[in-house]
Amino acid sequence: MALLTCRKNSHLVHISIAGDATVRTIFRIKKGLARLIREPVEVYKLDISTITDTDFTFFQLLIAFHFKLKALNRELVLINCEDDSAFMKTSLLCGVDLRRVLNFEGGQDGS
Amino acid sequence: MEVEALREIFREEASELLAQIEMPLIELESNPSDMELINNVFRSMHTIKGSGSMCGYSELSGFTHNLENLFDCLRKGKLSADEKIIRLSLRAKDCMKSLLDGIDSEEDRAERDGILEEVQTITGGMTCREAESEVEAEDDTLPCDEAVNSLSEKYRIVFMPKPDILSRGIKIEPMLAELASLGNFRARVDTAAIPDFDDLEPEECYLSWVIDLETERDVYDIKNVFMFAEDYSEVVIRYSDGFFLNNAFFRNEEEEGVEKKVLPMLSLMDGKAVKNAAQEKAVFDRRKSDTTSIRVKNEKLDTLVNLVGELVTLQARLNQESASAQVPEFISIAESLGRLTGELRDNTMSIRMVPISDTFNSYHRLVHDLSGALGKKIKLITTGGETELDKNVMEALRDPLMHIIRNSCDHGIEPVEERVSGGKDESGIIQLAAEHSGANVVIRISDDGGGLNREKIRARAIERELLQPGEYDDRQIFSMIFEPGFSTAEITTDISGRGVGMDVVKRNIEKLRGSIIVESVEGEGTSINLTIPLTLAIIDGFMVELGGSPFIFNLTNIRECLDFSSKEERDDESNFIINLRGEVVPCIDLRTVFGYDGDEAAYPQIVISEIADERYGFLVDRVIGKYQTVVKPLGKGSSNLDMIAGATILGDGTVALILDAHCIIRSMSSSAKGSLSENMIRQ
Repeated sequence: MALLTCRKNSHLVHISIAGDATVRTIFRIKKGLARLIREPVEVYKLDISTITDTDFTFFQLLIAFHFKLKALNRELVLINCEDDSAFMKTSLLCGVDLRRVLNFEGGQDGS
Repeated sequence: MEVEALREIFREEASELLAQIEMPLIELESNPSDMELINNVFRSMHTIKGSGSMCGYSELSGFTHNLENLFDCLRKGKLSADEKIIRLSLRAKDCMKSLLDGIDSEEDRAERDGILEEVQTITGGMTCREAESEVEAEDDTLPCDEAVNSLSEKYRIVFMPKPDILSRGIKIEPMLAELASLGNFRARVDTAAIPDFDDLEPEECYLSWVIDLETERDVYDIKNVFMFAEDYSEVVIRYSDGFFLNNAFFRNEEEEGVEKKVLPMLSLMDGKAVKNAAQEKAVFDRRKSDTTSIRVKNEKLDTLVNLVGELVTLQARLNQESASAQVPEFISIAESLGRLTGELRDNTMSIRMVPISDTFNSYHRLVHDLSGALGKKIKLITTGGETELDKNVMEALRDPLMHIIRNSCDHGIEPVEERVSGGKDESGIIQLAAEHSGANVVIRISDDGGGLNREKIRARAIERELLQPGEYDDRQIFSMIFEPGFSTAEITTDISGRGVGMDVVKRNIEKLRGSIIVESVEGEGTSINLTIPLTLAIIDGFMVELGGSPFIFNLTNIRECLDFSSKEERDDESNFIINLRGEVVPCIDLRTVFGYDGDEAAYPQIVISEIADERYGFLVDRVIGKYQTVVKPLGKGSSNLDMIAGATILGDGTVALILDAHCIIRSMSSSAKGSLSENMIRQ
């Protein structure tokens, strides 16, 4: 079960996804993210440190979400990404070079 | 998609998979090391397990998992397929079918438990996972770089899943992990096909992969990784010898020829991302449009056929009206519409046509099981499986065919010792062959067994007063096996039992408006020929008139029409014979049969029919001609009218009865003087 929580201030939404971020939960995650697009903020910070299981459907959703925000002059930033996390390991296996496509903050490569 | 709809799709697909694994299982008996057969069964088990779990069939999924494990052990060479495993698998397949159909009695549970125990004994408790981890452990002993030596091959793999691959229960990450375990692995993903966030269906796959793999393993090991995905993706594996495009192999020099077909994939293979929008669309559309067939519920097809039937009826009315209106434009429109309606009818009927191979293949199991039970060696050979027949006809044919094959196994094919002593091969052969013959399909069930004992059948038939003493040809003698009660209890030689239930077989075949002929040579075998119409819904009819009412024959039974000559002698009220070019043809006066007492037509005609190679004439008032007939079943109150096969509505709204020529002949033969009219039309 994925748990999507968010905190909001005037210019930023902090989103956290915990647990399962796979095809089993991806529909709900998309619904949650779609709802957040309506928020009038400039930056979306997505904490993925508590994701325990993921697959490529989550990566393609993130990429689509990123481009959607970009088109609205907004920014998606992934935070707390450790290279040995389930998220990063699966992205490596799937050959999805997320660090080239998305913005990261924190973790080994973060600023 | 609704959960119940998903479950229904699963039930249909799993039933098909279960039907499909019978053949490879039986073939495994003679080719126990054939990996293709083992993989076939394994793949089916895997799919049923995975999809079953997704659709809430946890009991089925759990049970199948054990069988999948057994076949995984066979694949990995840890076990070899023997008779015990094959019989166990066939039993397990039956249990899986029961679970799928929701049958779960105490007896079924006991059978499943017994099977699982036997599987445990055979595998020694080894599970798939352990087998996999053993492989992984072996791999782990060497770092990938060291594992790859000078014998290694460099592969480039393009993997393009169809968007709905996940809904098929297939996961991509485990496949990538398995590839990674084979050697030096590097995957790149093409994300060009990911649509806008709003349009993205999150459960679909928009990615394609290009994978570089350096490994000692051969190309078939790599192909095996994609074995479950091959129906739901495009896979290209290139290496030094050439490349596989799905299951087709091409040498390097052939690349140019296939380049156009797979241009986007080869672009990916050469490391060029699919950037061009048109090309990107081509890649994606190709995967989407690759769905060449869809599933349609039977009821929907039946509704379509019924609606086309109504249209054909309306068309007939339009033809009639246009002809009477005598307006050229009206006639021209009616003719054009008639052509279109005809095409629509033919196409619609063809949708419901299914190859007979599925039905034929289901009898391999029957013969296999009966061989074991009877202690005989019997092979079933099928030919003409591609012959197509209306699905509803096929369904109705299943039981009669089963009965005939059962009889052949039980009473036709001799025990091994008897065959050997008679100079025959120890294995008996039953052949099932199908072929088109005009608007019919002819199915021939033949065996090389002991054949029918002509004299014994004749004597028995005379004893039972089914025949008068005298000489008869083979066909008349052999037709006695279709008489009710001509059973094993009465004749206890190798022909015994040929009559058991064969009357029901004949009745069922005749219900399909088909015919059945037996040929047999004692000591050499028996052959039963079934002639079945391709379809029952819309037929080419032949309309006649009796007492002012229209009646219809099936045109496929009609050979010619003659003017009736009063010189012909009529030996009783309804039956008489004519001399047709030197051949004596029995005729039936349909006016008498249906109780029309009025004046005879001034120029009555005889319609000559041919059924099961026998000619009969029917005396009618007038021949009207060919008529496209939409067959409507009779209502419950009329269903006992054996001589009427159905009804149809003519263009002007009149109802015409469709005559069952078989039944008329049979009834009139058995009761020449019976007043058959009593429960017929005048009711």
